[in-house]
Amino acid sequence: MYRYDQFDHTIVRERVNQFRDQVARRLSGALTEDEFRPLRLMNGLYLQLHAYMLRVAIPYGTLWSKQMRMLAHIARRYDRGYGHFTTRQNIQFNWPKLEDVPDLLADLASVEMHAIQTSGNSIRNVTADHFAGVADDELEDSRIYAEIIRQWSTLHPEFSFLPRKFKIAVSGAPTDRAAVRFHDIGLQMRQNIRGEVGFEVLVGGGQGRTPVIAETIRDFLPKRDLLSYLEAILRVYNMLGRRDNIYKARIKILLKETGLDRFAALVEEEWERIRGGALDLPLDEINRIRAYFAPPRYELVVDPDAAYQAARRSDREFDRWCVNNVLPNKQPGYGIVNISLKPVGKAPGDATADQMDIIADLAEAFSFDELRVTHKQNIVLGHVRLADLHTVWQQLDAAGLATANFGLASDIIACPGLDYCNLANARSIPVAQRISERFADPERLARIGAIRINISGCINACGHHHVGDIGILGVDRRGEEYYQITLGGDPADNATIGEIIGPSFSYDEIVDAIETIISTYETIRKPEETFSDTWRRTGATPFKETLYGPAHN
Amino acid sequence: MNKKSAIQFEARIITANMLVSGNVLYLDEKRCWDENIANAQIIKNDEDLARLNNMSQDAVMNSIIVGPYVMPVECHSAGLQPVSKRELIRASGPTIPTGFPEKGKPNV
Ligand code: SF4
Repeated sequence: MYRYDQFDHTIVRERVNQFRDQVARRLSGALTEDEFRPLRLMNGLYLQLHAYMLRVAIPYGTLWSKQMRMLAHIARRYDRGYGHFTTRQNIQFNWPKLEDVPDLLADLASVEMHAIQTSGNSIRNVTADHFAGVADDELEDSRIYAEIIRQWSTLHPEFSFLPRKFKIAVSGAPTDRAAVRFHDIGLQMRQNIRGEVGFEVLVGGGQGRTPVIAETIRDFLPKRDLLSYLEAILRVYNMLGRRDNIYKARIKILLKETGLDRFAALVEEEWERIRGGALDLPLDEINRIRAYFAPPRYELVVDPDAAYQAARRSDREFDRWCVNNVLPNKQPGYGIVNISLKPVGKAPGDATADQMDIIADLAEAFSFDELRVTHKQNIVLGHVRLADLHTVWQQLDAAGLATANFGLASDIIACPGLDYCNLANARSIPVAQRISERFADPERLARIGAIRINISGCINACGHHHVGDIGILGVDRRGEEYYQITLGGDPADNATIGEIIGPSFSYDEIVDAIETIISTYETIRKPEETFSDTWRRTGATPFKETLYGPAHN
Repeated sequence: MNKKSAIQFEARIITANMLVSGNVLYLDEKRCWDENIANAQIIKNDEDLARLNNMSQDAVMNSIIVGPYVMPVECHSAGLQPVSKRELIRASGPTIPTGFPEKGKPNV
């Protein structure tokens, strides 16, 4: 794990002091809300429906136990005993008081955390593959480069007031688990014909009001040139991106207006000017950062653990959890544990302070002190010995954290929606809860198999509805909550934006509509087909027929 | 969801968030900022609106509230009910358990 150097510590501490002064001036009336709003947003503090909301950055989703314990402490001390892990690998606290936020930030700073650039028109928290360093298909640990980008982009003076927010994701594996095609810049590690590892650079992707799949602007970028090339893209965007219309300010719109070729030519021109200069990334520096992400000291495990095998045979629930939630670590004898934050009937991504503490304890005892937050709003313990799995499972189970639904129908991505969010049209969380209750039966979940159900409470698409096999979007119809369904979305290598299937459904109807879609899929799919496969083979017709009747074709 | 009682008439009130906590507040009959919508002052006419708006601006200037605005409500025999779902949720708190006792507000 990366550890702050003196420079990082100073930046964060100074920022806390600066914000403490700004809050004091706001509370005294010396600053108006118009003056204060941009300052609080620079520190991740929003004013939502019922309270302030603080978004804390978790760089590339990786934490160590002490940091998770601090999040638990913050939930208890400054909030209402829980937090919400988000689709950008961050955590949000829903109830802090303005006057407490400086102390809260000081507590965070004590464990090398902050809320800088979690809002505003800046380069946001850089996200990465949540299985970085443990998946057997990766070329390199993507967090090394995410950390290098974090250092370059934090408080970058030129890019603190971009036309709009800017999101970067890094995948170190050929299998994209970081949705790189749906980011302003996506970096996918590739090997060229000489066997060198570098990046395919994708640009202009995003969800929101105008979903766009990123296009490749450069097939292969040497690692050495990473920062100079990113700087060139950002500089062109910063100069040409629109600032007159918030809906047209993202880089994806600029790309549509200029065309990829022209945009790429401008980037190349700028890059030629600056490459090989101060932003050059020498191997020494990469290796310095790489050392922070060195693999842990795994034990050499030769034989499968007999007690683990026996526990799987004798304990059906444990076995089910192993099948669904544990993936092989590239190190033999170790597993990747996916802790589902989607218990049936609960708010997706929420964890109580006690649960955070338990997860931290487990990470410390069984996973080399490290854990990750995924953009699917779950937690990963990356390096658990198979021999320890039964103990880990028992402790998770006692804390209500052993739901065996990873990647299944009740593992739903959902944004906060109208229960918290000022921009929402409709509620997301209770819809997710009702769907998870409908699909609570583990046998049924297993029959349906892997499926992505994603819910957003408005067109901003924080719940990634565009890329769900089944996407649900909350819309407002004359003051009532309605839900539009999209089908066939895919966030990964076959990146696809879901297709609107037909008229929307009311709050009361939506769960039955999802049931109809899933039942239709179960009826028409061929053996071994995923939802995407079936959708690509059949198209919308069978789903429309069962949802709306034959007349709607 | 609770079934609403019959609407007696529609009206408007003023709401805002408290600066310190972000809590939802309503301007009440005693010219105070109250968390309970039941106590909200109904705007009777344009003169009243101007007067209450002025009071809101004073509260903004005095760092008590943020972002006041006028919102429609329905007056039922049981009390005031917001018209929009958004305002119902603002008045009642999240519709899902938050781990904390909910405010005693109208049901969504
Ligand atoms: S998608 Fe809309 S409702 Fe959901 S969190 Fe984002 S802005 Fe709020």
